[in-house]
Amino acid sequence: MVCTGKTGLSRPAHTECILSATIRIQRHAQTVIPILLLLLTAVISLPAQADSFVDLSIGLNADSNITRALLSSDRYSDTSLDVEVTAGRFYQLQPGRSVTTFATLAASRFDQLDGLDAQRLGLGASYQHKAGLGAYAPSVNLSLNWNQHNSVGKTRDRDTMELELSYSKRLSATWHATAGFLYEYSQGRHDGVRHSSMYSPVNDIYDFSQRGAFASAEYAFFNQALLSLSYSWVDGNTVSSALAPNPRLLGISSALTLDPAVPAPVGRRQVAYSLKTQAHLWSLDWSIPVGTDTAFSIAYALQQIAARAGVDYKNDRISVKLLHAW
Amino acid sequence: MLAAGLMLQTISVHAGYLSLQALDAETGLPLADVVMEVELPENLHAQFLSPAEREVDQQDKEFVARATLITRNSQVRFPNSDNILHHVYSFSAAKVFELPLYGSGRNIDYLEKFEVAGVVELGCNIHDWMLGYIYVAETDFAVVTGADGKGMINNIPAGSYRVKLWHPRALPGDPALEQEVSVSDGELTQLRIALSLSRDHRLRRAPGPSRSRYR
Repeated sequence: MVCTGKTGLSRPAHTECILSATIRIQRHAQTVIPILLLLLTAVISLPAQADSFVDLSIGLNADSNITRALLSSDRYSDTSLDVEVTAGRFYQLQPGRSVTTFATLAASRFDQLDGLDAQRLGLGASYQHKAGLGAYAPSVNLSLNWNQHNSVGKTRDRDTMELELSYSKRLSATWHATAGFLYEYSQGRHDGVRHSSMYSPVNDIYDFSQRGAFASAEYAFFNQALLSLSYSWVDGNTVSSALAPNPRLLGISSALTLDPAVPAPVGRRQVAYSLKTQAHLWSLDWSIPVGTDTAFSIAYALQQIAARAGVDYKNDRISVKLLHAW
Repeated sequence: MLAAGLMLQTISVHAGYLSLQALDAETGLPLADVVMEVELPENLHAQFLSPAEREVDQQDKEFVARATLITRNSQVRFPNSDNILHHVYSFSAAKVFELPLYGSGRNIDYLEKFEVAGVVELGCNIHDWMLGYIYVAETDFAVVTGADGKGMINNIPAGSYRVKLWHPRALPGDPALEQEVSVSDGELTQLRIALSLSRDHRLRRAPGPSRSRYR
C-alpha cells in the first residue's frame, strides 16, 4: 500500500490539520512511531479474527541515473537486485472497517555501485473504510509507515515516516482507480558534526519533509493480466551525487556531505547534495499472473526532477519482478 | 432383471424425462453450472414444489458451490468453513439480505428463506472477488449441470413446454437460453445446447504491482 511516487499540491484547510498533527509527531518519530505500530499490532491481535498474509517480491532493476546526476560525467547507470518480504495481518473490525498491520524486510544489491547496497526494515499500519457493500463501493485508506534504511555507504542511512491518505473505487469489472495524498518525513542518521565535509557544516542531507499527490488507474484483461498507469507529483527533496566542486549544485543545495558510496577519481571527492525539488513520476506496469498466487511484472518508470536555477534531472528505470503471495 | 424391472416400475407411465448436455460454444467443452428449468403452467406449481434445506459454504475465500439450485420457499444456510470473517450479502431483486461479519462455526443454524423465483447473486463485502449464485426455481423441474455438463429432470408430465436455461456468464438475449421441448410418456427427450459466454473478469488474481497488500 505504500505509494512510492510522491507529489505536491496546494493544501486545503483540512489537510493543514493533518500536517500540524504530523509535525508534532515528527519530533519523536524515531522512537514513538515504531513503538506505536508495535503496540497497535499487539492490541489488535487480541480480539478479532485475523487473516495473515506473506508477500515475497524479487526484482531486477535497471536505472539510468542512479546518482540523480546533473552532468553526464556524474551520471551512473546500474542494475540492482531487490528482495522484499512483507508479513502482515488483516483485521475486519466492523462491517466496512478494517485494519492491516505489516512488517517489511527488504534488501538491494547493486552491480557496480555496491556502496548503494542497502537494507530496509519497515513497520506499517493502515485503516480502510469502505462506504457501502460490494466490489464497487468506494473506500478511503489511511496508512502510516515507518522505515529504517541502512546502506553500505552510511551516507544514506535514514529513518522515514510516511502518512498516506487515498481514495479507491472500482469503476467496472475491468477498471480500478486510486488517488491520494502523501506526506513523508525523513531524518538522516549519519549527519552529526563528525560526519560533515570540508565543504559545509550543514550535512543533514536526509533531514527533510515531502508532500505530494498521486493517481493511478488499473485495467484488468480477461486473462487477468493487469496494466496500470500511475502518476505522482512530489514537492520535496532529491539527493544528487556529483564530483566536487560543483558550484551550480553548491549554490542551490540545502545540505551536502561526502558520498563514499560512489567512487571518485584520485584527488577528487564525491559529494551528495540535498536539493529542494519538484518531481514528476510516471509509471507503467504490466502484470501477468502465473497461477492464482504468483505474478510476473514488467514496469517502466520515468522520473523528471526540477530543482532551482534551471537544474533538472531525468532518470528512467526498467524493472522485472516476480511476486508471490501466501 | 429384477433391478431393471424395479426401475421400470418407478417411472410413471404418464411422464417422461428430459436430459441436458451443455457445452461452451467457444471451446466445445462440457459446461458446468447451467440451470435448466421446465416452465409448468401456474396451476401446477404447488403440486410440484418441494422446498428443502441447502447450504452454500465459504471455503478458501470462495463460495462453494458457485451456483446452487433450490426451489421456491427453500431455505439456505451459509456456514463459514474459513478461519476468517466473511460478510455475505445480496442486492438481487429475488432476495435482498445481509449476514454481517461472522466467523467459522457461526450461523450454522441460521437459515435464509427464498420465497421468490429468480437468480440471487451473492457477494462478500470483505473479499470483493467472491461471487456465488442461487437459482430459485419455480418448481422441482429444474436441474443444474455438473462438471460433465450433464443434467436430467425426471417424471415430467407429458406435454409441450418452454424450457429456460441460465448460466452465470450467459449472454443476455442468447436464443439458446429458451427452448421448446415435447415430453412423451416414458420417453427420454434430449436437449443439447452450446452457450456463448461473456468474458470472466475475476477480481481475485495473483498480486499486482499496485494492489492492496490484502487479498
